[in-house]
Amino acid sequence: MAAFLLRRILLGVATVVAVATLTFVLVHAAPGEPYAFVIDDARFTPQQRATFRARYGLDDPMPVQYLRYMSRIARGDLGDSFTARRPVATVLRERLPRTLLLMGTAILAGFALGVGLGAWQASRAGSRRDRAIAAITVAIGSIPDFWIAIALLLLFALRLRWFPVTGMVDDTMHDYMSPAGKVADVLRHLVLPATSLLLLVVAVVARFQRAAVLDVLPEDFVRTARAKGVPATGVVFRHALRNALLPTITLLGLTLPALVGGAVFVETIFAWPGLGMLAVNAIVTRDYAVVLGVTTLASLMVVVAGISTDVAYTLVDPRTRRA
Amino acid sequence: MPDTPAVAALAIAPPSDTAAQSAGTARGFWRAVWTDRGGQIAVCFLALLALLALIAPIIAPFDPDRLLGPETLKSLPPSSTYWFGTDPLSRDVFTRLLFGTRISLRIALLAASLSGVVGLAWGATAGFMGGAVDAVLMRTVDMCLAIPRVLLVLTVIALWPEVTVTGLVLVLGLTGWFGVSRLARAEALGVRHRDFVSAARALGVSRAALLVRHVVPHALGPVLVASTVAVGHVLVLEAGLTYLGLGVRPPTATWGSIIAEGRETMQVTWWLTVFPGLALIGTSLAVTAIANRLRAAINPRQLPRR
Repeated sequence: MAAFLLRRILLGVATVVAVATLTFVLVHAAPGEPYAFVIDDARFTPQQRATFRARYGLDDPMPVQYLRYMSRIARGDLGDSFTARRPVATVLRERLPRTLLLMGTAILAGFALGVGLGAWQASRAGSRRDRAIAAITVAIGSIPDFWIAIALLLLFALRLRWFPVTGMVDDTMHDYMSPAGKVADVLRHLVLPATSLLLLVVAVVARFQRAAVLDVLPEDFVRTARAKGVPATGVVFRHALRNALLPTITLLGLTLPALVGGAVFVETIFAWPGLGMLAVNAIVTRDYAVVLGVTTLASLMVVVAGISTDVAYTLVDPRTRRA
Repeated sequence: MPDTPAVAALAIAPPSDTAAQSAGTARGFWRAVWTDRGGQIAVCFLALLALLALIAPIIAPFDPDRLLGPETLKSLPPSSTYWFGTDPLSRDVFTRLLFGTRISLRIALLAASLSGVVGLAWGATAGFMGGAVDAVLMRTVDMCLAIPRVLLVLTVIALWPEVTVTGLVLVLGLTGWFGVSRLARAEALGVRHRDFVSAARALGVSRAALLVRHVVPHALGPVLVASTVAVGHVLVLEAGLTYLGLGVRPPTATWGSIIAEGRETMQVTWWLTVFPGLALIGTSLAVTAIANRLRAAINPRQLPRR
């Protein structure tokens, strides 16, 4: 177990190093000089330009620049954001909790709903309702995430006015609210963006969970439970579901990259001030350091999620420990 | 990461040979898809869409980029003249949707084919060569899979000043083959030591020819399924990027750009959001339906229980 964990972590570190290397290569492979738009600004005097180049070491040989880049990242220094005039790491630290709140809500609620729905479908597999829900989940899985967000925004925020249109808090009133009121304010803003992400999770998890439960149903312990007289729903939800949850854990790690991608669109559409919206704005303003910072951080998140998934899997299923 | 317990648990049983090969041929493809009404509807929908895209210049009622009446014909709701309404610049939405289909489908098909080819070559080489080559190639894939695709694409788009349609195809295609290569590798590993490969080797067939003639055909089926799924993914991704203003540049009409043009006035101009959205959902559904049927044909064990 310890050896496996160590190998897994080493592989994870290697992955993050490789991702950072890839971003470095991309920056230098792109046409034109990196940061050319800053350097070529007509308002700079040649001397200022030289100072700038020296400060960021743009005249050093490539290997030197690479090593400096990597050692800076290792120390958590991701450079400076030109637009925010602050270190990228500070900006990311401010944005990360908001994205985690959004994605965490979508993941938790999405998995809970999806697991329940999938098990319920399995308990009446082949029935008309099962097939109807299967068709609905396939359909939802085919709706583009950004379009779901737009549709929810249009329907529930603009037309019905049930929820606020954009942002994470009410800009004018938030500061005057009681602590409980502030929480409620954030939650109200959270509903639509989280639902946009959640629907896709539910669709994937329900489909997966239904198949997983159906796989366990022919097993001996299920027959035993039935023979003991456990009612049908009890068999599915108490006995089968518990054993069929294992494969679903793996989905947690596998859906994260897709969720990060979805968060980019959903955050931008709802102006939810997290990492995704930050990345999009940074591209528009050509704030490279921020784009690279978000990409590196997101990869780190995916790697950590992957390791956690494997560890959780090993803890829950003792059979995999020997592997 | 195929050696981790979590991912290994998801591994799919190796496909039976005959089915895998037959799905790689045109007849096998047809037999797998044209089986039930769902598959037939999907094929007809896509065929109709492709036809409309092809003959768009003939049947389109207006010029996609012409402003019909900047003062009077702005943001008109759907009517008998303007079937899907007009946009805030007074262009006909139905016409733009037809022309947008050309661009959106072309990008999706080209990019998905590109990822299919690259993934097949990469994975088949890794699985066939084995050893250090395999390790290096597949660790590279692991690394790339750790970067969320959207962010990888955004990073490239951020760094390149002008993104043309060709550039977008390259970016989307070259960021989509990682998963495909894993499938191709698994197939290549499976046939590497089979008798017919050993026989061909004994006959003095070169390694390159072995790879191309004997290993790659076996990996074709799963790669075809993955590429079909990829068409839907690229379509949606391109639309999303264009919606954010980071994909295809205006004034070119694509499904994403039409939705984007209705962004500011969404509350009123719902037709700019709904019609391209339905096109996206329909296409994506049809592609998924076809991919599911192909997958079932390749791997009968995965057939949904009815």
